[in-house]
Amino acid sequence: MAAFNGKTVLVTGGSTGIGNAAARAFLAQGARVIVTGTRAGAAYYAGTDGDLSGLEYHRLDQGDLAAVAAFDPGVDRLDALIIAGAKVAYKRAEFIPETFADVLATNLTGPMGLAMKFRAALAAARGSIIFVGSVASFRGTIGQPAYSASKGGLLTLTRTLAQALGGEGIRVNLVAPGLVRSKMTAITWEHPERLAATERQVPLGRIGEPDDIAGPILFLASDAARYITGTSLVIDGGLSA
Amino acid sequence: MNDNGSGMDGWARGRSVLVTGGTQGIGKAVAEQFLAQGAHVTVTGTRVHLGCYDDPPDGVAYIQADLTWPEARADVAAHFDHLDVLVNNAGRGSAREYEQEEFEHVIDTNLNAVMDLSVRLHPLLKETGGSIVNVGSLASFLALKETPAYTASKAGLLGLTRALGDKWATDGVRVNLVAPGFIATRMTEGARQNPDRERRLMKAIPMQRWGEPEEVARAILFLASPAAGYITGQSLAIDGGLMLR
Repeated sequence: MAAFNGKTVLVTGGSTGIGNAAARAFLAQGARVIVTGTRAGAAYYAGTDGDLSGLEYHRLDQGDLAAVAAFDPGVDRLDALIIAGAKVAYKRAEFIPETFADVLATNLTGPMGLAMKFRAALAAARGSIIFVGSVASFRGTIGQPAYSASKGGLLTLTRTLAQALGGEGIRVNLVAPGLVRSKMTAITWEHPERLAATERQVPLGRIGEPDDIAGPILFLASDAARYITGTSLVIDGGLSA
Repeated sequence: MNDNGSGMDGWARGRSVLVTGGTQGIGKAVAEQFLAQGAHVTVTGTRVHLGCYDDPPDGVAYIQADLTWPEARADVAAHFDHLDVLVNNAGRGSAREYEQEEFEHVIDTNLNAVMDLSVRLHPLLKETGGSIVNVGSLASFLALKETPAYTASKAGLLGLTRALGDKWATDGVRVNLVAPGFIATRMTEGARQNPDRERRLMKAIPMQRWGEPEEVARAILFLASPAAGYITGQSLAIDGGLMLR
């Protein structure tokens, strides 16, 4: 039953939200799970939606390439690298070039740095990379130029790395969640009228939950998906169907 | 229990599953994967008995039906009073698809039959909160110039998946599509036995190998499972990276 027994998985942004749901799902399937977050220690996530019990926590600012280079979670074989860490800026801040660059550093440049850092470990395990994109990987979002550009960039990065790393046995795929209940989207779902208006647009009639994304991530990382690479899987309740 | 590798076992136990064209190739692998998970599986095929096939799946119920014809579709639907999963897998291609009659014949089998059978079985799927998985193709996205009907039908199936996914979402019925690349089945036997053609094809695939029917089947099981409960109207390529190039 434990599909990931003896396997090692690293989830960036695995302290809360989608990343944490994925980390817990891998843990439940027997994996050794390493997660990263921005806070000083696991204890600092008390009171969030994150449950870090059983997970190996490391503090990492994935937008800082020097920190990525220094990051040493102690793995020489890695079965799955899940890039769930990301940031977004609201109130038109992403129209300020410095903020734009900062969001791109965390959401796109850092993920590339992590992919290259763990390339050999992934190849050793014939593992896979899963980027957490967004429906914003495919369409513009009027208030978030940096978030959209970074998630669109992850889509083509997925396609490019799938070609470039395929020869090493590394698969690379992307999941593209729609609106999911997490810290990052609280601005939408904490507001009852805004939530109702959003849910009316979703064919399945509800906002997504982090677990809705964790299942597909596990599938893409599993042996069941061993012929799937370079693809993107939209998980949005039919919103963009 | 047979572990499908992603920790999603158990959900299919006792479920009722219909796989059209489930006697060979991808359809057979789908039937076998569901059987291994404890589901009740019915397959359709065009031959008189299941025994008319070389190596048919073991333990399935069989309905003879050429789904090209509306009467056959009605007959298949009438066999069911309960259904959890419909896998629209039956399909065909032809070497004469530039002849209009043949073009329409292929469209009937690959697209019109899927619409008809899905509509007929929708009330049952609504009762169970079930789902439909359509078997598309890389031809849902790319042109295969020698088979215009196959290409048009599979691209049409992509649009149909989106429309039905949207339409039936409020009923709790999810509709998705898998898009297999080059899979080692009878349909691709010609290419696999021609070394020059095979070499050319393999150059186009980042993973540099044929896919196995089982690899497509496992993606279909995933899309039908509760783990994919927030996914509808979508397509998933199982192609070793083929469509990247």
